[in-house]
Amino acid sequence: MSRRDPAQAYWDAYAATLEPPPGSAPRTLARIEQRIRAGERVDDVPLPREAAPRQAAAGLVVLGKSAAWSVGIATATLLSIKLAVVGWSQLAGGAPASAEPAAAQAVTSAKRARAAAPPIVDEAPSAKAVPEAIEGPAPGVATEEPRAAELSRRGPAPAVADELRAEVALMDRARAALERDDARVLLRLTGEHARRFPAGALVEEREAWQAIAGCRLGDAGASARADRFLRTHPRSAQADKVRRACEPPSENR
Amino acid sequence: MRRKADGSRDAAGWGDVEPSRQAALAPRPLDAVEAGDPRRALAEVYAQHHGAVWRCLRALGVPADQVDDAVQDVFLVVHRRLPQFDHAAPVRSWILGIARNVALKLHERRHRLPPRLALVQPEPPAPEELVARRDAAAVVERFLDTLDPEQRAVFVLAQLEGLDVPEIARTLGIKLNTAYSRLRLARRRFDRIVARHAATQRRRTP
Repeated sequence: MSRRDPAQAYWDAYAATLEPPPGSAPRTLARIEQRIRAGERVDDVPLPREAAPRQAAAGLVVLGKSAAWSVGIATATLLSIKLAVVGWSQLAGGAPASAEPAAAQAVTSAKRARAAAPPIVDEAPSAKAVPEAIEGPAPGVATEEPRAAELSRRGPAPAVADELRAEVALMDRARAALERDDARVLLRLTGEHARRFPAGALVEEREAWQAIAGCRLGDAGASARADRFLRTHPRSAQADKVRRACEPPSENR
Repeated sequence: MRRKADGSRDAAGWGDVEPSRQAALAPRPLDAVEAGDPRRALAEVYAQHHGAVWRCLRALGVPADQVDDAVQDVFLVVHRRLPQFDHAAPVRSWILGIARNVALKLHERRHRLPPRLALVQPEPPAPEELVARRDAAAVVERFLDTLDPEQRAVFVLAQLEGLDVPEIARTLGIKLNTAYSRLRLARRRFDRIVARHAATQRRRTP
């Protein structure tokens, strides 16, 4: 499959830029194993065979903005309650992480919310879909959360639940970085959260942790960011952490 | 720096982990899976294919600051699906197919969300990189960005990983003729764009 010059020369120049950072492989593997132990689950795109449309990923778009908002609010409320009770409260209190990570518990909530929804076909070349990936309709399961179940039947809930699950999983990783005082990773992960979930359910935590990471890294704008967070969320469970990380105290304290 | 049939150097600085392409493409029983040791199976598969997955994700358009996480996602899927993997199929093609799915998912997500917030600055380009090579690389990157995801996947798998067209068709789950057609069109466009850029460079050079 040889390419003739000069195209090959151009391609070679490009391919030379495609090298993983030195030493990154063991770190990435360790991270993968950590995520596996945490019970995190990743679905690649429900990719249809040739020429099939990509409705699954665009489900919210098809339904329209108002439906998307409704679904988002309903599921996010469930998620927030769950997180508030179980996951993030531990962080606010400085307690060690529970045996079951917040992400896993949120996933349980999300699964319940989408129990009555059509299954997501999780397909990859040469491999059959894994049964647990495509939990089909589960009649009778959704009565616990009728609002979410009703919304699920309309179609987009699995996509929303996946988004929420992904958001929580990402912030669980950020929390782990916070707990081990890895400000650089914390900043990167919260930055990723800002890009992927700019209006997500965990914006408050994100803003707090960005301020903390910035202060620990000595970023110039970190103090202002911390002040802004404390002004915006004076009663946040994260407020004390932000204050401690960003001492000396600002005038807003 | 295309992946040659005789394998490649370890780009990740992790020892000599890249197998020969021949070995990678050959059906290979995953003994560790059969032995009920999924952790070791994952480690083996990861050691052999991490570099290819990283490069493939990048070439498929995953932003540099998201590649490591995307690699993790790929191998999380691999780990989950290893017990169901058809051992008669080439492992590398299977994994690259998953990588392509993950890249496609990220691509769709990026196009559904507002522009990214500038909270994390992108990494500066390597200072030692030569300007001419950087320009050439940028031309290729821009060209790849003009391709639709399906055409890009065919082109990248052929050009970067050296997969032949039947294997690409199997990996992506498309018809053989479709794979040939997409590759031919992509290459034709690539040649045109390179020729145009090279001509421009020649005119600028005294």
